[in-house]
Amino acid sequence: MYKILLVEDEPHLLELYQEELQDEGYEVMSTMDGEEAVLLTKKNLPDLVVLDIKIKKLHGLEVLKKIKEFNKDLPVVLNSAYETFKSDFSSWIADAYLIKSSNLAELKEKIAELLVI
Amino acid sequence: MKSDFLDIPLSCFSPDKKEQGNCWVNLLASGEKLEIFLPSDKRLGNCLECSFFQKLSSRSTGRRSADRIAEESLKILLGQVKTFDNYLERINQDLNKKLEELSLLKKVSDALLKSKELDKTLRIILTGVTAGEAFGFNRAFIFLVNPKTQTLEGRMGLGPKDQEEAFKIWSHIKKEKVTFEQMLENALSSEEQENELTFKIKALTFSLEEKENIPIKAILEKRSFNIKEEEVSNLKPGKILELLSPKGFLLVPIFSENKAIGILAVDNLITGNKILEDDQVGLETFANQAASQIENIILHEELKQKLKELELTSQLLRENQNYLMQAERWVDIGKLATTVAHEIKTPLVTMGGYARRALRKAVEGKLGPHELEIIVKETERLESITSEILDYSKATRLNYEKKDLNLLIKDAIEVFRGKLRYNGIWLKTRFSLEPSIVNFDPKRIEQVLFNLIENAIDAMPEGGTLTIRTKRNEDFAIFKVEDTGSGISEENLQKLYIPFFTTKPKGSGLGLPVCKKIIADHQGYIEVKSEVNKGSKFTVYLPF
Repeated sequence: MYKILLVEDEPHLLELYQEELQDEGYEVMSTMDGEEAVLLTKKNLPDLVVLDIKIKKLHGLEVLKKIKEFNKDLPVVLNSAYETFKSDFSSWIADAYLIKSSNLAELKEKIAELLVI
Repeated sequence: MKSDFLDIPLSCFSPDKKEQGNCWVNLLASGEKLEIFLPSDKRLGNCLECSFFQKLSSRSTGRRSADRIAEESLKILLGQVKTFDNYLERINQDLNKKLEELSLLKKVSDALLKSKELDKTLRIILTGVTAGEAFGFNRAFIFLVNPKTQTLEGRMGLGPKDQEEAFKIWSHIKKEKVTFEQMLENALSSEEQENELTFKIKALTFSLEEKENIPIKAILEKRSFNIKEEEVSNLKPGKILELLSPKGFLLVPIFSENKAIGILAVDNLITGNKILEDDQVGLETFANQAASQIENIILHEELKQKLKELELTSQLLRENQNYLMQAERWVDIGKLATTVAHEIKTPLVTMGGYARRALRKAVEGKLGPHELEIIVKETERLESITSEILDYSKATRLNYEKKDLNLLIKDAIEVFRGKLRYNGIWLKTRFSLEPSIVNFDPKRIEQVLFNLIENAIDAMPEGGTLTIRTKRNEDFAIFKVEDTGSGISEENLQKLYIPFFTTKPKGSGLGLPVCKKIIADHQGYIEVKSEVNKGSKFTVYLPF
């Protein structure tokens, strides 16, 4: 069973993603702040990270950098409400950049795609 | 008045040269009889110094002759005294007449000073010219120079239109014993009463270019024209002649310093009395007096007109400013739109996500309340965001009320008592001694106050002290909301009023921008002082 780390600071959204991804058969751990996200990555070794950009304590792109420094092969899906950071080159090291939607199909597809490889 | 002395034939040119041709002493000495002989004091003084006179009056020979000289001298002196007496009498009469004229002029001047309108001023002047106690002309007219159009315009006339009306008016004045003061009072208090003469004269306008026209001539040459009956027929026919009496009239230019104000025209159409030279001199003096009054009033009216225009302009400016403020707000709103879209996106995504989940569960027959609860909560959040955006973006119409700010604040504090106690916050209040009666929209100001208090409470999660104070100075009612909480960093202080900027996890970032807007709508302003970890103080100024 794949382990997914979910970083999201909107509690209801966090809850939704957690439930939906669990329904897909993943093991989901979650956090609302960036610092903890880095710690959890190092400690629990997830197979994939779903990362919101506007989060507490540490900026999502900072978190992305630290995760990639720790393990450049760990797939990270940036999941943001805005496209703004798409133009920020530090977001390019992410494996996918998704815009939040109420339809989670795209997110689920992307996760499945990245985990298969 | 002329001196009688000047009419006396000279008797002695050179007393010491013994040219005694007409010398009265010589004549007396030679036994002539003197009829009327009135030497001036100077001439008498000359006689006293004259060696001939001295010799004649003191020599012992001819005592009888000396006696005669003494007797005649006495007569002469007495005669001289009588002349002086007559002279003084005449001066006195003259002075009395002048005094009377002056007191009439003063009455007119006093009335003129009270007048604040051109029409009233002109009516007073015409009353002064036509009243029997004053100049007593039958009819009088005023023309004024219009510098803009370079014309002389008929403005007002006063007097009876015919014999019948004259009789009616004059007998009324006599019967009712209407005094000059009452007439002036009437002129000052009555409103526009357009008589036939005014109606006629208002139709008359002369260009200042018509140099041969007598009214224009009077202005250009700065002199009066006293036209006698026999001269009227010699004049070129013109409109002014149709208005004025064929028996003669007087035109007096009105000048203030060197500025032409207009023309005063008078005639005696009803009585046919001749206009004398004295009348002319008197009317010229009067016109001089009236000129500065008329000029003042005209300036005053121009000023009033200018003020009105200024008010209009400032009103336009104000409207423009409102429009600009509104436009500025639209620009803000444009910038906001992006932020707003972002703001509402998260709850929308959440709601949509749960809705899909709920739908799926419903299909599977496993729908519980959980998904729906979240949708409801997120809907509420969306609603509150949208209503705050509306608050911020709409042009608010304030419902002003005159109220005591202190009372409003006391009431508002009551709402928070429970919450303050729950959060371990002490409340300190200090109110201005006098009530702060301000014109404001109580609902809006209450909203500001609630917002500031909520912020203060949020800044003190571990408890603290909330201080609310009201003060007043000459121009503003002031209230302060102070906390001992986390404070605001220098960087965040800059962004305090930027819409959607927030440091709170659940804040909309519109609270303070809305506060600022409400206060600005009241023409007031808000100030903030803050120190990190010490607290913040918000001060609101509302103009009286």
